[in-house]
Amino acid sequence: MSADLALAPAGFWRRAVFSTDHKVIGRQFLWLGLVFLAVAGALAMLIRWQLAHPGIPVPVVGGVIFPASGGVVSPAAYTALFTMHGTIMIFFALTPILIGGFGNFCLPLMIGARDMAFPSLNMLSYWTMFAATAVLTASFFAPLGPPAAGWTSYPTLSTAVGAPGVAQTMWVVAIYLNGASSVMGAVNYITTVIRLRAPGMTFFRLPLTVWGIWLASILNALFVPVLAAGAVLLFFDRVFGTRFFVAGSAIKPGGDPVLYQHLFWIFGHPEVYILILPAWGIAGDLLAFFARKPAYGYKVTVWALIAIVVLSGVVYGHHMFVSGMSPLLGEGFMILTMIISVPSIVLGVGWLGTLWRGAIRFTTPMLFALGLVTVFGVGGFTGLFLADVLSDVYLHDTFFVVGHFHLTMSAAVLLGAFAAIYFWFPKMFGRMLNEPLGKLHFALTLTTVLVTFGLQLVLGYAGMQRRLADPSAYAFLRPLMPLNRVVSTAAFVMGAGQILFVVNFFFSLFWGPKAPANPWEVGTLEWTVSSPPPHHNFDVIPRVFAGPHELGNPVMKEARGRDYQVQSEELPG
Amino acid sequence: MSGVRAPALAAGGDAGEGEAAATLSVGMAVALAAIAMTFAALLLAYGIVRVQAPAWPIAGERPVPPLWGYRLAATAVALAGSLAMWRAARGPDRAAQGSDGTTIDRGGRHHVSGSLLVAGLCGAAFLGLQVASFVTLRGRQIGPGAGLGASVVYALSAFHGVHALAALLALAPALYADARRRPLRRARLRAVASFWHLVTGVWVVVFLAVFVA
Repeated sequence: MSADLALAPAGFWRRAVFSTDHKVIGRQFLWLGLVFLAVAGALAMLIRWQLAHPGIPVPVVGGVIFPASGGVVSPAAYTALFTMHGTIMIFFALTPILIGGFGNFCLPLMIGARDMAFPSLNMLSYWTMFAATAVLTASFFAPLGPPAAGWTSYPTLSTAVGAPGVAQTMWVVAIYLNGASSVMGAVNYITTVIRLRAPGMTFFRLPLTVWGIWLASILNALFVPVLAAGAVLLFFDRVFGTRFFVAGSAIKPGGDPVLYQHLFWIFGHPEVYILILPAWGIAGDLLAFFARKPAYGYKVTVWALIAIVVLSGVVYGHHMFVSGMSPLLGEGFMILTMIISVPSIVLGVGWLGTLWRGAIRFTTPMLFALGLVTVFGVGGFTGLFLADVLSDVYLHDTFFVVGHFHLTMSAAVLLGAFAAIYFWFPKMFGRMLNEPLGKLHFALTLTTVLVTFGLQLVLGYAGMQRRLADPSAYAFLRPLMPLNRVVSTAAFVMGAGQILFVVNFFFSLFWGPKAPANPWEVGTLEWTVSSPPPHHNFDVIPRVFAGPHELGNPVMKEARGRDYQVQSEELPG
Repeated sequence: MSGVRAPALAAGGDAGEGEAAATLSVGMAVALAAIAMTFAALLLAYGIVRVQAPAWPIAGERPVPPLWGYRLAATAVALAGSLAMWRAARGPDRAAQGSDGTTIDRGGRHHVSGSLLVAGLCGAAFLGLQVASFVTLRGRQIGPGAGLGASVVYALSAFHGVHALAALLALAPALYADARRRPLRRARLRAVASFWHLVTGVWVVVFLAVFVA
């Protein structure tokens, strides 16, 4: 014990900045993700202002941000806004919070390990991500303006012709660095779970959170490199003048812009699951914890998650139905995509079965987990329309797509991130968040999420295309402007509602009540150590005897006076 | 709480040297899979470009000379380097191992030193040949933008070259330790060797797919 403590670095830089401790790195990822969540959220507010009030200067900050246009969001600025909003939200906010933040913090604690398998690589992963954020942030101030080719950065928009200047090249570099960081993290997570589980922690005793993060890491390791390949070729096209994505002509042969779409979506569809798998895992655990019941169909849920991971790698073509794909191929991708809904429904049945006749405790993390299930349910069903070739041809590139993916891979993931923050904040920072404020934050967020993105589905179905800087310029879209204003108002309330979270977060960080070791009365291993945990995590590596959701057991109630069994204790008698 | 008494905080857990070596092997396998996926995607892109082209080289483009001398020499030194790394990582026989079986000390040094040096020289020669091939192509007015064929040659060779350089840099600590007569970690040497084999394997595929096919 004393030898362990002696190894905790004493100096500030090694302890708090260049630390190899997974808990410190987890907190660093969380801070980074939250900062960029705020940035991307602010960009979303500007987007919604423009869609509700096109041509009217943005109040208060418009003159500072867009001085050349008198505070009005110009079409060029609008294009840059949605590009950076999407890029930051997906790669620099949601991924760092859930996988970087909670993956790092929770994974070793939940499997009974002292740290990640490769602590130095872990630190390098964080600082590579930091470098990526620095490059992307710098691209805001590039001479010809920020990147503006969309978060997908399709050629021809992203080639040297479509996007002159250095900004788009910086975007490519930032994405490559971001991917390198993700792969380093994946190497660590996969290896840590395989090699460093505590004695008795079999794969089917792992918390669902660990399953979610581990499976997402496998997707990260296999598919982020495909995006990297696309980024490398785009970089070569832009910097060295190669011609992979530069379309040829009758007089000059060339490459194929659609080639990039293949590379992007081979990665891009698994990316949806990279984002949502950790959130699903967290929801699975939290629903069981706060329903005070074992997770219904735990093993079936795990197999469903594995099936989704496998299928996610073979369905990417449904993003490209309108790219001139062979109808036969399109039909194949459509069927494969539809098949994914089967294991997805299995997950849903598991969640509902867990809640059924449970002694539900409506804590803030539980509410956010329930919100995730609700929002993902709505978003998931709308995905069926986009998986079908016939309806996708009509709905493609409309706000229906925007509403769908915001519900499934943005709002659901965000609600999962909030569930995780409210649940593990006591373990991370040693203090409790304010519950009433948290519940108010939940109510505002869930309501506005459903209104904002639900009505975007309606806008899309009514024919409003995405990425239009001024929909009111088109006569057939003018009748939709009132609906656009409702969507924007809901979005503004959502944005303002996050102030509650910020206040709660910082107030509790300094003045919140001290957290006990196990405030939620659950049995996974991280709650067996102090809040926050010591540098070495466990004085003694625990031996595991039970699954993660041994709750509501009358034997425990009778013998120990509580309704849950800690994973590292044997059942009495 | 019952449990297993853990030794002091080690790299990532409570593993001994043997356990740490196994952990490194798993991590290396995942990392190599990720790197292999990058090259697989690049080769897929090349495959799509090639299949879509009505003829190869594409009509209207200036053909890229294969520069057989450079390519064959590069392939030969890549294979030789990988062979040398295999010998180095396999290490001395049991009698010449370090006392704990996980390091290679002076007793087995002579066996490994030569192999490490050969591998390092082969790696440097490979990179030199690749640079020379680029210079030759540029000398013939064939740059990366000369056409799709040139794009493939430059992008795949250069990106692979970056990984060959990384392999050489990964070998540097072992060469340094060897020069200073310090013990060599067998597990680390094996990890570096596995990276070398991947880089060599990828080059062989690039050679066959881009230059021979």
